[in-house]
Amino acid sequence: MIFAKPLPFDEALDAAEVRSVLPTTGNTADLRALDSAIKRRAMFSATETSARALDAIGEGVRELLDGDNDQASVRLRIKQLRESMSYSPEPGKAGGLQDLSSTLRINLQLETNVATAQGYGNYLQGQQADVLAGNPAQELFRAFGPSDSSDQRPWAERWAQAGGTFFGGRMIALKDDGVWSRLGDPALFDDGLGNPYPPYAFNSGMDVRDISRADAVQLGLMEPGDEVTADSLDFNTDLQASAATRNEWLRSAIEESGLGAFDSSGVLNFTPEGGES
Amino acid sequence: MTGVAVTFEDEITPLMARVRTAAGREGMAVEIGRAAQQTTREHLFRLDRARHQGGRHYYAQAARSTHQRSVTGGVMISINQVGIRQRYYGGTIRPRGKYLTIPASTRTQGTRAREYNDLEFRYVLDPKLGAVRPALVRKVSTAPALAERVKGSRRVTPAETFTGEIMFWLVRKVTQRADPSVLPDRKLLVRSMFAAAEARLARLAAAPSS
Repeated sequence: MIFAKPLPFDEALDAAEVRSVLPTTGNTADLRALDSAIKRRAMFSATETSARALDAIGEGVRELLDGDNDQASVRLRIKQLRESMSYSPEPGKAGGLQDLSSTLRINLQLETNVATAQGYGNYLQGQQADVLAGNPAQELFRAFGPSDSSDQRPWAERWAQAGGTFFGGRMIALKDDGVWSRLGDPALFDDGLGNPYPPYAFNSGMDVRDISRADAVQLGLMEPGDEVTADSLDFNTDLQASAATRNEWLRSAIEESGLGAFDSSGVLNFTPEGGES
Repeated sequence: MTGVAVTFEDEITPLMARVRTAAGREGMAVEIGRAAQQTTREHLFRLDRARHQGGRHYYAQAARSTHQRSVTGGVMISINQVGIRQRYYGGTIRPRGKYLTIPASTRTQGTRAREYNDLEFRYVLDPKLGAVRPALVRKVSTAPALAERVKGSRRVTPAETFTGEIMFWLVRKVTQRADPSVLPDRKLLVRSMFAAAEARLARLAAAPSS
């Protein structure tokens, strides 16, 4: 056992790198309507109209993924940027989630983006052919306690609602089972992040662990010779394109969805429901 | 990068020797690396549940930052989390300036003193030590904290008074003891890697030859 300098978490960094900044006036409900493929490629935050602030968040996320900085220092830098932009929260909103300069809001932005990128990295490493052959299933489990009372969500109910099966109370499924996509589907769950990997929802301490082939066979999830199909959700093609091309693709995809349009400053405004697009 | 990484070479040499082709060895490395990564994640999540009931879940963040790579002759497990190296090895931390700031309450844990703009330097009695220590406390006449503005208003009334709240202790240095328990036991890691390798070899032996 030799101690060494850590290596970059490439897959997680790719998940951060592929995101183009998406300033928007849209609120949480508006953003929920965006396709998950778009959301995975966009650095956005509800009612965040500043590309500069989103850039700062993106830079902070990359530093945290690399282990180059700590969350408090990144948060401080973002707060100082807000101050320099003369940002002021709406009356009555200070300190809360709708205050773009609050500790609560910045923590949520950083933690969600970092955990999502890491979740993608862990997911992609778990989709490698050799890993998939040896560990074709996974288990949803309570990895850590909630930061506050916000994660008292009934995950067993959610698992059942997403079509999952219980094995002695454990939530296990093959890695190519649709339950993993449904767990975070915003169409099913308001807090869903739209990814087939953890975190499935905001502020969630649920995660997944590998289940071996022997255990998957024993549970009756598969026959000994069965194979599990690898998911093709990777960003290789995207990352071969330039940042400008990826940004253009993102804007076109959003405009084609009819959900909203970009103004002259590049800010996405959502079309009011029932209004003309 | 102040994370930590562990490379396993000697431990897995006997396993790799049982595989004939380079491709087979690569596949074996990936699979046993994953086993070690999963064991490390589980360990760190367990630490978080044991040690961090509140706060920002430091060890859970470390667990999620854990990944694996095949490297020449072995596998590497990397934990890309600030401070994990310091916890493992221990040692003395000295400030870049005059003092280190140590959160004095749960409210200031995981925050920087500079996130507050209503702090002032004072010598305060530390009841735990029974001695006077330098600290950052809330000002008598205070401006709103950058992080903790008065809800609903950015205005500060002159009537706001010193709450007596000690926010940060100031120290010249901190010496932490090494804590090897932040990483899983080596035997446990090796056992998980051997189990993954044995399962792989059994699977390949059972597969119909083409």
